[in-house]
Amino acid sequence: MDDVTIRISHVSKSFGKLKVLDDLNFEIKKGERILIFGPTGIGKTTILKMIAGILKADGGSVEVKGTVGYVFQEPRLLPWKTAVENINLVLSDRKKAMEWLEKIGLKGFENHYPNSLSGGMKQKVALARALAIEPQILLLDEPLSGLDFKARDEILSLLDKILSANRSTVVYVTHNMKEVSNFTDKVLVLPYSKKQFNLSVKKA
Amino acid sequence: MNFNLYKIFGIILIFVVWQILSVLFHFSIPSPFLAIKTLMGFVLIEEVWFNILVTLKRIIIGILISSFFGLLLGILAGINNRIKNILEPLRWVTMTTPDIIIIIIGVLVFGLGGFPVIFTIVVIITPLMYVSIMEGVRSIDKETMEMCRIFKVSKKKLFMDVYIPAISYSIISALMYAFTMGVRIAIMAEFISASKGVGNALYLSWTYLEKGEVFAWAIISLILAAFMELIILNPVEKRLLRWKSG
Repeated sequence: MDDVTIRISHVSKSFGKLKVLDDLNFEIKKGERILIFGPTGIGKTTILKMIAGILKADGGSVEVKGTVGYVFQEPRLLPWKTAVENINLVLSDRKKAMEWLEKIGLKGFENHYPNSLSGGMKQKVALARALAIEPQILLLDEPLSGLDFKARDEILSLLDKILSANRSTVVYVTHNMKEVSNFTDKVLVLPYSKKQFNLSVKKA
Repeated sequence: MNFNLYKIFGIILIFVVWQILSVLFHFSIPSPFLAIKTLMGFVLIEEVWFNILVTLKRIIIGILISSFFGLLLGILAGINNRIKNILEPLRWVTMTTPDIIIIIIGVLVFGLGGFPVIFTIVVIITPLMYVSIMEGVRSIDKETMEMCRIFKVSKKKLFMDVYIPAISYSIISALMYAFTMGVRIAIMAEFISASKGVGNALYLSWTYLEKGEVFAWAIISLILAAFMELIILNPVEKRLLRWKSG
């Protein structure tokens, strides 16, 4: 796959009678940050789930090189685990989990349960959980939706800082392009028409 | 009137109804005062404490075995439909067979004594625990499981850190039911099969038509259930649901 980290070739996917993806093709190179943009229900999350390996394509192939970290739209923290335990769930190294908690600016909140953290803090813990496994590919599924502007800016600049250091490939899915226009290198637009799937890649 | 006052009112109501019934059926039902007086007399009798401890031991052993199998099989059936289908006929048979038949089978297999009592508790309570746990596992949200799959959470962590806490409500409600059922089943089984324990003491009091003692043992059985809920269930509940308080 040379320096290509993700290769999507002629991928199609249907849910029942609803065809979500049809003959989708694109490649993402190592270290690239790509934004997948499109309206709700167009198949953005489906693409991420296929890259993460939890959803199979009906046709075509999905080739992925490297470990995958995933940040969901909602934090998906275990409510019975503290902030540090939620990170440690994917690590088994509490010291390292603590380090990640510090990196995302939540030192002092390690023993807090999710129900005592704000929405932004919870999403930061989810981000730390995804980054803690040191993924070669980071998938972000509308991670900032539901957060206020301040929390969005804070998380984005934090993410930018961390990712600049480790050169991970990033796939960021959103229906709000303005949200991350300065964060990604390329934009992949998913239009409404699925039969004539147009791939538009341009510099942000 | 606050919640506790309603509870006290409810208890007083029971005693009032009991007193009325004891007047109406004075040959068979003792007054609450006689039962409580007999109960007070029991405090100094060593044999009474011995019988209580014997029954308590049997209930705890029975519930521990039931919890082990109920938890294990409930989780397996919750995550695997094939296992659920294999266990379904056994669940149906054990939950439908009358308790008395299970006691008789226990006596036929183990003979008279403590074993048929434990056997009966295990056979009756395990399927109740199993169903409750299985439903709890099936109600774990898909998003959590998806997250665990993506992050390749190990099976050990999945069991200890995800399944067990996620089904903590199911475990607690199943245990609550198991304790009250355990007391009822143990006393019934001892009544028929054992020569020791509260059930056997109840049998002797009944044989000698000691109605005060019969009702005193009934109160003891209630105290037993309350004791187990307080000493065993409350700490378990606190441990499993400590995250609720934040």
